[in-house]
Amino acid sequence: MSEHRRVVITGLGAVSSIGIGVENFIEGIREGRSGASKIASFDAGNFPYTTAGEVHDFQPETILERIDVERWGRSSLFSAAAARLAVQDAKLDPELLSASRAGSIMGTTAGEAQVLQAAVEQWVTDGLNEVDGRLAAMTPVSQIANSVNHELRLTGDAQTIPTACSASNMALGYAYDLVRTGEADFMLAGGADAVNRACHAGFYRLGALAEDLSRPFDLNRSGILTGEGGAVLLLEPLDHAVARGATIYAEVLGYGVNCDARHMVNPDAPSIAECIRIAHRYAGVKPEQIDYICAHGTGTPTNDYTEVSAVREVFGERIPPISSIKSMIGHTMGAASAFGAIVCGKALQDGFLPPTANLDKLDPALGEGLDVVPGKARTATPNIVQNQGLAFGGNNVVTIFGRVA
Amino acid sequence: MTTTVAVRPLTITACGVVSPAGLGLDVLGGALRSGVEEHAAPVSGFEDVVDGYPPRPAWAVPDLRVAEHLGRKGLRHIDRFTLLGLIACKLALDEYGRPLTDAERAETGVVMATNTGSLVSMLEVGRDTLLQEKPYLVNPARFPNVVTNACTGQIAIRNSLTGVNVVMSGGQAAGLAAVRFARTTIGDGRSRRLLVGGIEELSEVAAWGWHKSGALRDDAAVGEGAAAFLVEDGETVAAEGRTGLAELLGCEVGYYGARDAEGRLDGLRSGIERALDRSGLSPGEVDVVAVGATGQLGVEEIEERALQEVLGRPVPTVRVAETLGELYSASVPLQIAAVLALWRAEPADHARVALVTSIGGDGNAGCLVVRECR
Amino acid sequence: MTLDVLQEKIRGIISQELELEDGELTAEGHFIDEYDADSLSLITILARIEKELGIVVPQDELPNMPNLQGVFDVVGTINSRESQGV
Repeated sequence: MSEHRRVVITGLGAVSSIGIGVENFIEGIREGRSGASKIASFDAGNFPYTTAGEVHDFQPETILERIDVERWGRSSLFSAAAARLAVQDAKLDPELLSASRAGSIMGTTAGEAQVLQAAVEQWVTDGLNEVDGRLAAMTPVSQIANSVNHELRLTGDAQTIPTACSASNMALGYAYDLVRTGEADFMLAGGADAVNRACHAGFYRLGALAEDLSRPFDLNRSGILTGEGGAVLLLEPLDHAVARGATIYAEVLGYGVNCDARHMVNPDAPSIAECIRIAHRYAGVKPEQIDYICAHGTGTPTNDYTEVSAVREVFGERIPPISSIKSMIGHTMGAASAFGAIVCGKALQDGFLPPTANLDKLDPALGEGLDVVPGKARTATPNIVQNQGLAFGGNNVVTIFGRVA
Repeated sequence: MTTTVAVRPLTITACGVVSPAGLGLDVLGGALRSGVEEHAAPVSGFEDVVDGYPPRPAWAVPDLRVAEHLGRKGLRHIDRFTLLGLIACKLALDEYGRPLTDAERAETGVVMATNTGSLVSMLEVGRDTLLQEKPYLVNPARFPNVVTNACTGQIAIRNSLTGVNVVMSGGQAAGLAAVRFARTTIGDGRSRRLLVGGIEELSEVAAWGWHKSGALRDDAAVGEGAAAFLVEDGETVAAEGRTGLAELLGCEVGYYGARDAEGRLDGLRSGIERALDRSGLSPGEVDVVAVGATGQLGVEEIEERALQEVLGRPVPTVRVAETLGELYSASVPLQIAAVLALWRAEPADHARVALVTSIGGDGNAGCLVVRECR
Repeated sequence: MTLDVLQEKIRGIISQELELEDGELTAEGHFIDEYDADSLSLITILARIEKELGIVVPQDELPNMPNLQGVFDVVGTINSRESQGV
């Protein structure tokens, strides 16, 4: 094989509960703003907990240029809108993009869960033979990437990787592979999910749902806040980005992926540590070079403890600053790692460390020397950062990004 | 910027197949040549549901003999979707000839195609949130089944496979995406071997979904099944003096859903041409074609036309859906399996070449080139 | 429901969820150490007790229920509290 190409991130698109468009989103992150609110997308009346991180002001028709919003579910509209915003942010000619070998790899957890729930409601009320036949084509999780290719008229791969809560890190890794090896010239990578009744019910039932706020690393953390949104990054070869004078947020240095193969829902610290080591090996970096970790940081007692233990296993005494943006936007599931990647890209470019909001008292059980960047963002000049995604099924993916000087 | 470089072959060293014809390649080969004697009737996926199946054929996998293949423990809350995948993978690992060592299991991953995961598990939770006394009274033990990667997670757990573990969704062509992913992953040394395949589960909901969508011919059956191929780097297999069932060569897939019928035809045709080109083969060297859109209104003729335009001559064609029913996410894996089954049933004096094509109503379309190992 | 019947039903639910043979589950046998239970199977047991027997056991009682006897004690306390209307 020929020499592989270096791959950089040149466009960021975010549709989040704390802001639409990357600048609004990042402003919210830097302030430690909360996206939590009363659930509006379904009747949460009979649930004990009624808070989630919904995107209330999302008007897809104001962002999307090509897609018929009636024919796609909410998650697909999130991903297509975030992709459109990423291309605009990259100042890349849409015609050039559409004529190139370009496509999208998108992560998701629940896919079009709202569409499925609508079908279930029709089923329960009127029977299966009365369910709207148009919902069938809107239901598959593959629609999440299809919507991106459809909106941007891309004819390359349109692949959705539905590996739950680390899915968009896997999507980023695979999209990076496709550009790096020359299979594609540009790729949109990210993820999308929508708040839904089944997910809210399930996490409540597992005792993993927070009542009002997500409090990662806090002594009194009680669980996740279900969130939603779309997060997409544009990847292109470094040479091409430099030649067209693009803004380069970060270089994708590499990623690691493995599977616990132990338990469907309980994370496994040694396996996560191994995943981090794999990522370092592929990125060609050493632990002491990592300046910041964007944690999976769900805010459940088990996740945060296990994740910090894994990080300690790799980093030893010196743990880099580590924070969780889920404290602000909740757990956006299949979009979570992509939101993390966007934050990493901006942190490298603008020079700051993203915060952990809602921290009242750091859990002493997490050990000494832990800097979770409480409250608001802190000015700093990170050079290499690490973005962690863990998931049901034991799917761990860690991505590594570096500043391009 | 992109160059069309030759692909590095992947070799299938073992395979496991679960289909309405039964378990294994041999019964599949028999069914493809003389039909399935009597298709098994589908079971209900849901408790207390009276809707039944729509008025069209629905073909299930006959008796899965779960305990025989997977033992009795730990299956209490595993859904049928995952059972199909677990059994296909078990059959593939059994066929490998020897058990994998612990070190080999750490270098083995799973890449399965599905566009839905278990619809039964997802809708069961959805129904419970509406029908139970309280909306959160869903079954916690079954909640993890709703994630689309529950099957690959369970395959990893039950076989201690800690390598790359991924689910790929690309509509009807999802199995092509899985092969493309596998090539990148093995090429990068991330896993030395992968169980690559796809799973589709029959249920009232899936059957009604197809029925109401208007995408299938009135007489087209809905089916189910799973196939898993143990796949390794071709040059490594050859260097170790081993051989396999077949090589996976060029594999191209694209999205043409934003185009009209002519545009989709152009897309699929260029995909077939690129896949052959990157395999170092010409259209004249193709022995057999396994098509995927059989019975699907609007795309079936696009697939037939694209093949006709590239090949320019009649080539023996396998229509898996006629024997097994519509297999959606599992269609490409079972198209591959069908080619292997027919080759096994009818030996030839040269290494044969097959095209596996796919085009779905969503606009995903592409082609995989498969060459027999000699 | 008499106490005997209630306890028999609880024993049945736990045996099923932990995939135990008849007679395998003892009063003192530790769910996690001896019967391979995990947090998910224990939560599932509580869910079934709630759904099938109408007794709501909060998840934070789990540490007090390491074995069958622990479940009987916790459920018995909750049951008597409810029947007294407190």
